[in-house]
Amino acid sequence: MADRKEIRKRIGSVQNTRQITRAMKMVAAAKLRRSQEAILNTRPFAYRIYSILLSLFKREGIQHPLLVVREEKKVRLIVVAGDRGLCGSFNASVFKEAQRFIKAKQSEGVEVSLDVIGKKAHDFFKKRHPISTYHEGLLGKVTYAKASAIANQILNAYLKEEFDAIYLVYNEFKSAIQQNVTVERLIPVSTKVPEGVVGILKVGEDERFKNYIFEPSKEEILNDIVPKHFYMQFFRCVLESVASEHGARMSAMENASKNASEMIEDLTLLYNKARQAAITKELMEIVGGVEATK
Amino acid sequence: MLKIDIVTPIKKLVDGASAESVKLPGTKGEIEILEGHTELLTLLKTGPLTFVKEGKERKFSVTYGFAEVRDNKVLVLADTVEESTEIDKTRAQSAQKKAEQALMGTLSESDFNKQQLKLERAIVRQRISI
Repeated sequence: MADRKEIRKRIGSVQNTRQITRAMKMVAAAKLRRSQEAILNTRPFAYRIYSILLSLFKREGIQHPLLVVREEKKVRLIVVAGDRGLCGSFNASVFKEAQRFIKAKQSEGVEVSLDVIGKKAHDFFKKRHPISTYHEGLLGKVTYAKASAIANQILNAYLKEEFDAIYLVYNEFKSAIQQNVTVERLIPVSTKVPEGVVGILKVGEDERFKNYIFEPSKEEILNDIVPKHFYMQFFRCVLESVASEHGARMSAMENASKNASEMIEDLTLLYNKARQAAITKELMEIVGGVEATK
Repeated sequence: MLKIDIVTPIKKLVDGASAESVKLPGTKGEIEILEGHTELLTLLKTGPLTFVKEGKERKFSVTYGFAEVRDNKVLVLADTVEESTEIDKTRAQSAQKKAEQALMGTLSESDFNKQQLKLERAIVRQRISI
């Protein structure tokens, strides 16, 4: 039978671990709620910008360099992962998808350069693929100002024709327990109306800009709106990734706590058995001793 | 009566407030919107936005965005919007000084633009905060 003291020590250490994983789960749950709210709060702005953009483009037929698809020779991939681990497959699945994307593009003869967000992404790719920029310090607290500054920097490189498209790979937030790794093309901006938002965008679209006054002009308004739309998309993706990270960490810690509880149960059983065995042994010895003195 | 929505990337600041008139900082100068205004889509520059309801005025500082007017609804979309009651005047003053000092030195073009925007914003903030 295993040493009782040893078992007791192990129970203690597993209990400590469970305490930590439970606390981490609670923290992740609280942060998840906040980041979910943040995603919802971006929607009114993002939808309205996109609906004006689509209306100007579709009804008025106005062109903009960011809407024109160029032949892809070089592309930029933005990888959004996390700063920290202990969140299940959150980081790993992004890396896998990113590598798959790079391979697929390379086999078509397209060069891929990387922009990474998140310390883990930097650690992973620095030995595997040249990184153009590592954007540090965004994930601690994601603000629109920080996100749009980064997006602007990437956009400027695009306008200098350093690459012909901007893709982004991230964990799309479905629900607290479900995250989907997705690759999206952000630039050139897709002018296909995405499913699910059709209802919002269609409202009054047909006659939308019939009698409008545009100030200063349609072109200048579009010039302003298209980059803004990109900033919002980028901002949204980062927020979704952050929410997904908290969701993933919450489920990972939930599992870890459950496993720890199971382990404690098993160990307690083992400990009780050992204790019972020791008592039985002692009793036998006493009985044996009494027997011998007779 | 006009209905006003002011939306920023992180929240809906004003949701369906009603007013008799709205003044917007348009790119070509101030625009006043009254009931029955024609449909309009305009860019906004950094400046004050005010709307009046029953003699009471609410003031906001707006940085680059745009506004849409239709069916007596005014929709303002801007990067940052602050209501006058939230503005810290001393902070705005120190921001102005900082920007002014930065503009004295030699700057790259993008930095120059950035500082100039900061300066504009600081001045607008001070103007509307009382």
